[in-house]
Amino acid sequence: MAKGNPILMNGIRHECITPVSALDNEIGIRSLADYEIKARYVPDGKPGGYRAIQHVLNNMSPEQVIDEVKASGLRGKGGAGFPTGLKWSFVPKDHPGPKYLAINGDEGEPGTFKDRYIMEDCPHRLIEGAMIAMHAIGAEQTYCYIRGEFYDSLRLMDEAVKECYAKGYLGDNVFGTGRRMHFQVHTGAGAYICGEETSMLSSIEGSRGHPKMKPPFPAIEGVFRKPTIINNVESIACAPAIIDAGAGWFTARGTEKSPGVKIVSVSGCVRNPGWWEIEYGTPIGVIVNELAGGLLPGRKLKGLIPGGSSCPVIKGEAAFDVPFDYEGCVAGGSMLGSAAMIVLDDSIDMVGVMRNFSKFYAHESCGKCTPCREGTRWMLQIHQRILDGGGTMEDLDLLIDIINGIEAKSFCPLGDAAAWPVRSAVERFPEDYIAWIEKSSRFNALRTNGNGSASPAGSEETAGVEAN
Amino acid sequence: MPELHAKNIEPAELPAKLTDFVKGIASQYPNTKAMLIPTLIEAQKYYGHVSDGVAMAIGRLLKVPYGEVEAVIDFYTMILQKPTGEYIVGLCDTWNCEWGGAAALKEHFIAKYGKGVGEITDDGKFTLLMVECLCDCHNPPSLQFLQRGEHFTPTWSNNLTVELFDAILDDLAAGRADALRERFVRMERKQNAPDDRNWVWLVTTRNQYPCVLEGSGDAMKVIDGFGKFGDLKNDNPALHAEIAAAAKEL
Repeated sequence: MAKGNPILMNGIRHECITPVSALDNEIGIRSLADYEIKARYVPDGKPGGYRAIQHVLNNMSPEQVIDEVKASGLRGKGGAGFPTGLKWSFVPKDHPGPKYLAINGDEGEPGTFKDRYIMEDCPHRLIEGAMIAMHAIGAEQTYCYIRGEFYDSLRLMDEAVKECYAKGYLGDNVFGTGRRMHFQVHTGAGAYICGEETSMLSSIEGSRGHPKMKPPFPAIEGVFRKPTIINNVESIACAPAIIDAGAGWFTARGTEKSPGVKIVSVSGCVRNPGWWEIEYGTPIGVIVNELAGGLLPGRKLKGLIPGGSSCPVIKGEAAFDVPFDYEGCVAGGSMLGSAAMIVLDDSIDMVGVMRNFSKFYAHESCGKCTPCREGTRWMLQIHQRILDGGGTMEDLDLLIDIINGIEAKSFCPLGDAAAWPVRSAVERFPEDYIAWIEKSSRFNALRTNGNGSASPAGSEETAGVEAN
Repeated sequence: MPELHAKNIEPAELPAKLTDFVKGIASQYPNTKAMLIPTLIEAQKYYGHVSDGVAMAIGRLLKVPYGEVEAVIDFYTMILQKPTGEYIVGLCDTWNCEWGGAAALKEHFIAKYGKGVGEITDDGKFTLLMVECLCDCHNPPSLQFLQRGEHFTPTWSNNLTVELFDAILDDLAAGRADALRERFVRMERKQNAPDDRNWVWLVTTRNQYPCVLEGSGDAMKVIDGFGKFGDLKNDNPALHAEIAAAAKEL
């Protein structure tokens, strides 16, 4: 595995361990003119941005594009890992009227910072990818939904789109081929739930970001009740490289079931946090120790979350051996998610981490369904009570009970995302909870009373609890 | 900036730039309701918040019933219903930033101004808001200064310490031109260096730069692979001086 020189543009750390990184050569290319001259998807490919889309428009039918993306094995980079080519093929070909492409740039998962850098540092790559996808699914309009906090991403994407319109790369006559392709950057307004695909569609329609019932799936009935394909920013940004270099270039990297490259963002207790593009299947230990510089001096790994705050925590050093791909992470007891690795060392108290996560999900629950709306808040209250010194041993069972009520019973995946990390913490790190509970006056009062040797202080406390 | 906190505003009274914005994006959407959220966010750049009057006017401009406008305003946390200071201080408090010391920054702000989250400081300059993950988890704690105005200019600050935060707030309040300039935080030996040269991380309030140190003593030079600090000498002499001073101490 070759390690490239550190690449730095605009101060963003970007070190690439794959010698043929797709994004590597494009970081920091913001203007259309630069992109056309400098963009180069692979070292042996021809340089030049917007060549892939011209090749697609002139020489490839939509079916051929879909087949190429299917052959590359590209999987959605947003979290679920659904094959992108297969998704594109779900759009009904004979549908009369408009179809849409919606790009999900609502990156809000704590720990994730990858889409932001694609939108800020190679916006034209995303636009070119969107044009390829629009050609494949027969859409004429793209909505690129970017979360409202990303003022820089919104501004830079907007500028890039304007450049494309001015040059005739977008509009009613794309590259003189007569095709219509429009691209609109749509701002979000601070709701994590809008990263869920159907909520994002609600938000684009100008409503509250509530998830919608599936089926009908968005590919059949999506935004404005028209067929819509929803892809993550990173998935779309892979399309030009796949067309340019061929599916074989992509499948030569990564593992058999998870081909290609992935941006991993590493944060938490490491010396050198940052983001890198890696091949799927790279062991987590290599990512943490070689790229992220290893743990802080004198610390040991306590737990590791491979895919952002909605994934279960893997316990202990065993995490280092887990291969970083979809199947490997599941076998290791977690999920790849959005590849946002949060490293937790032995100085971290898991109850505090879970209180913070629960607070996040309680705040971000949209309130549509009861298990998530109430359950996330209860989880927060219990964690807060444990940390305030009011925990009892029953709280561990109570948490699992609440999680059982949320998991797979909430309307959209936000409930699951809130429940999974807490379940893993309670089941894999009970000692952290017990340490807090054993310090709690309420627990000690109950215990002393239960032994039949009630101390005066104990009985007062217990009396208070019983009265409550 | 027009005062538009009164209840009833005609759509014609909205700033021309806002109506132009709506006209500019109208062709991209099949109906006017889809433009509601972008328009509300745009309006907020001019007023700092969306008052009832502005919300009503936007509803009438886009032909969206007021109830639906209000439902959207209620749901999205970034659409503010109360007036804000000149700068919104958006501080992230999700786990990475909490671990990095966001709570200390929050406490410092509250102690310094005696105002809680969402309130305007007495000088009218700042409003502290706790925001969701800003996706800057590798540089905790992270915050955005948002200046009200046509562009709603964001300035990122990360790797912040309480002392730096305090200095930036004072500079902003005093209206100093370079208040939001990039500042030096610390210099660290770089782990995982790609070659044998003397690599360091330069941590500033905006970024972390991998750099190489060459020479020693007064002849010490800070070099990065892309000539960034060559530009910096002209763009940001203060930062450059801070870096040069720190390099000598390392």
